[in-house]
Amino acid sequence: MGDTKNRDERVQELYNRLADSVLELSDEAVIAEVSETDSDPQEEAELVRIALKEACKQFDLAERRRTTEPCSIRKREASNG
Amino acid sequence: MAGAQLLIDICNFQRQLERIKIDREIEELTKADLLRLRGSADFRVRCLGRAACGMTGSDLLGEALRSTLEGTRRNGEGRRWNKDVDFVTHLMGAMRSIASSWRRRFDVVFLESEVLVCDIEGRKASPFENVPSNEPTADQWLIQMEEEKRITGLFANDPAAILVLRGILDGTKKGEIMQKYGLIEKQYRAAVKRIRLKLFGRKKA
Repeated sequence: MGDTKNRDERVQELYNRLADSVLELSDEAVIAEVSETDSDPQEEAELVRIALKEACKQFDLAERRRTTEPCSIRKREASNG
Repeated sequence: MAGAQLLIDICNFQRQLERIKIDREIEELTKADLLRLRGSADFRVRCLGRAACGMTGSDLLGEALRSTLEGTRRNGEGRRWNKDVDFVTHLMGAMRSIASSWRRRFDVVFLESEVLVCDIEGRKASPFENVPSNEPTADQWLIQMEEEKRITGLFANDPAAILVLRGILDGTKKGEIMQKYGLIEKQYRAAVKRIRLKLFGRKKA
């Protein structure tokens, strides 16, 4: 079990270092690297932006649900006196 | 009473401003920034292995943003964006921290020794075997027991990559790896790039 844990940690370290290494790349290098794969950098980048906007939308929906819940309306009314 | 209401209005206004700033940042992220975020998210999730419970890099990035939006509420929840760092660096840090909290939670809740179950014939089995992996099917072998050996095996014909890989797996710092194996910066970076591309698994045939 100890060896497994150690091996897990070593592989984790590798992926963490690779995740950090992406931050150090120049703009040109990041784009060139994606171009070397099957992906179109422009298309891939826009997919990420869409995902971020979708996360915002989901957050807003959850927020709206939270503020229109009957109990939160009651709480607001109570705090407004 | 009016003072309290004014305070609430000011807080709401500040929150709206922060939200506008975040929306604008998302709109203005460059192609390179977006690709950096995606790359980092993918590796961060891979690092989680089964602790990712089927989450993808996109899920992790979405969670980092959700947490940042939550942070604008200033209620002690979520992650506040300190404007001294740029938005990309903030999201990268948030992903790092969220990923490690997912792993901690997984380790605490699903310690294998605690969840071994016995069938009626006394055979022990781990529910881990049924936990969905975040890895794409083609990469599933990477999460098997011999993952480290398999990773190094990928670079059998790339001596520089093997040296860098071993150094990283041992937790050795970049400078020390370069010094130990006599690599210059350019060779080190090129080797890390080859490792990234190979492990990313989307290299053109």
